[in-house]
Amino acid sequence: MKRLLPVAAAALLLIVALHKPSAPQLSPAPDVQQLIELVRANPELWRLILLFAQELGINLVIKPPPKPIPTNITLTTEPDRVTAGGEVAISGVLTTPRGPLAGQLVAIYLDGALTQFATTDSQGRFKTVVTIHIYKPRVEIRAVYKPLPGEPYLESNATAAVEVLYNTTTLHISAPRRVKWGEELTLHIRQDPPIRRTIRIAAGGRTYSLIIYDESTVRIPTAALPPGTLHITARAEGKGPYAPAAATATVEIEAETPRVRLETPPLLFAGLPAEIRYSTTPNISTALLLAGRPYRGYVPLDLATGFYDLTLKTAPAPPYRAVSVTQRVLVINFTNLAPLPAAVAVAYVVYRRHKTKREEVEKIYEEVKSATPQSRVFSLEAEEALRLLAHAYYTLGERSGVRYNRRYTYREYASAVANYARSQDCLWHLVALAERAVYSPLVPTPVELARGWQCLEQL
Amino acid sequence: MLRTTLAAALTALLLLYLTPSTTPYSPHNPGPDGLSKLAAHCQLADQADVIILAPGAELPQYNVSALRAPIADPFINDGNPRNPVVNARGKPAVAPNATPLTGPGTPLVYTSPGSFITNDTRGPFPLALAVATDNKTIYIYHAALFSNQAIDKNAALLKEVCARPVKIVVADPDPAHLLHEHLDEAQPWAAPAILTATSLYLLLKKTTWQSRREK
Repeated sequence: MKRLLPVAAAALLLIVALHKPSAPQLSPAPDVQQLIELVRANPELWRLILLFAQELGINLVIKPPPKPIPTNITLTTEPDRVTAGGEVAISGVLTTPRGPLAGQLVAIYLDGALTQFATTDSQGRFKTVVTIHIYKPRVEIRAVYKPLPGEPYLESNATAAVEVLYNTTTLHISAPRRVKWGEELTLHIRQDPPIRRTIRIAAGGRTYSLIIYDESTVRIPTAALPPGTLHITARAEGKGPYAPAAATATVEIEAETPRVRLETPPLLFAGLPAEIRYSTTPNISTALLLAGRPYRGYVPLDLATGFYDLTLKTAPAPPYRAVSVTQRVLVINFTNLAPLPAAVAVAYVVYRRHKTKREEVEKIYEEVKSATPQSRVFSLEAEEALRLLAHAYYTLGERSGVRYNRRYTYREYASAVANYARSQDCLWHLVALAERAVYSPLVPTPVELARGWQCLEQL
Repeated sequence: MLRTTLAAALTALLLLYLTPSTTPYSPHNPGPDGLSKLAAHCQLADQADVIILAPGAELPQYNVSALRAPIADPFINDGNPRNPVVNARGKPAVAPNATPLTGPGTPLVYTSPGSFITNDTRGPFPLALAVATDNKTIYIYHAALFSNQAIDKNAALLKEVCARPVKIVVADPDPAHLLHEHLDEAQPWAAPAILTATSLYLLLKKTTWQSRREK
């Protein structure tokens, strides 16, 4: 055991020194330079990548080439004034000091939002048509040229403005201030001027849509909505020359609180059923949870000893809202406490064993001593030698099951149990020491006695 | 001899217990590709509706697996083409050493169209799938989204995923990972086992002493 500990410690240090987290075992990745070339050759793919980046709000940073070539872009719009929902033709030319740039993507932004891409022809010209769905008196159109990674050109852009003509519209919602949860909520919606279009109503995380002309009534069941303050928003999208409109309203959905009663003993035992009483008025669906888990008639056995929440929750049942009642209970788990008495038992056995050993050694010492002439008076060294022998005989007696008694001579008993000794030399050293102490006038020396105690350890 | 063998076996088990796992994406691996930070934040369970799948591992019951081919994105990445920035329900997330998930289901997290696993195979590749079964929906995420090197950048996604118990499936586990897994399973039975072993030991010793005294 003594040798094992340093070996284990050394092995642990070796493992800690050699331990290196390993990376996942994956197949080789494709060459990045080749991938960049692939994307450069595919403007459509580049467009998709830009859209993906825009969705995530990522600003793609493209490193310019070592000697960038400046570019210039022009932008023309036709007409300059358009009715909302109408089309505007956009055209322009992309050039560098060396000449026109062909086959390049030009991004068209309408009021700051990416709308379209246009590709330049062999003369660097690009043209496209956009539909104006923005309801502002003046809309900015921007053409942006952003070179692909690895291109030797600089970014350039041009801006133009279009005047937009449209009609403003209004939307009104009439709703009651309060409604009982579970009943229908009646909304009256009116728009001015009358147009046939879709109205989307958002209330409590749900969306309803309807097509109206001038006014309409909507009935929304409140059972599926949460009780409390309900914010309602109605939106009408722009349609042709008519601008979008929105209106809001607030309704209080009132719910009633059910009466809930929960009675439980403060102390519960794991693995056993507990006497828990509960009731609700009115009688609605409930769930009883212990430590966040459904209570199934008994306290779960795998719950450790400690304090837990016993919670009774009622399901929402319009007009009654969901409520919960919690009580703190102490759960005792005997399997958790089991190691404690076991440890006490082990400590008791160890104590008893130690005490028994002392008594047994003392008995054997008396036996060993009584085998000598009764009149003999021993020196302290001789008594120590006999005590050493008594210890050795006790140890070997425990191993062999043959106890020493005075019918044996020292040597007879030693021969009988010698096979159980780990060190024969030590056994015979102790026997010789005892024999000399008893039968010889020579007193054992302190060095011999010290070796005797060492031998006892190795026996 | 018996005592020495027992002591050696216990020492070997103790060494394995003290040694961190080197299995990639193991919850007991504290390295950059381990999931020890995730394990500290989330409740791990054997039965869960949210599953985190490591490259090379598969879920035959849902016909979903994680390939071993790494995704390279030369444009939308976190400073390295092998660390693609992905779309996690409209928000950016980082997935170092990510590989595609294959199988049926609705993609929840996916890479950009400009990501590749070979020159001929390009994205978007799914890194999370919602798989509808008979009575519930199983959410399967790629482990690269939650590795120790990525988890701090994907805090919002982690919060969303850890709202429910999580199961981690790794490929080629090492002995330290297996030992920790088995110890986790055996934890509820540790106290009864210690009690039984102690009782048996005491019973055995008592019988032996009595027989010796009788001699």
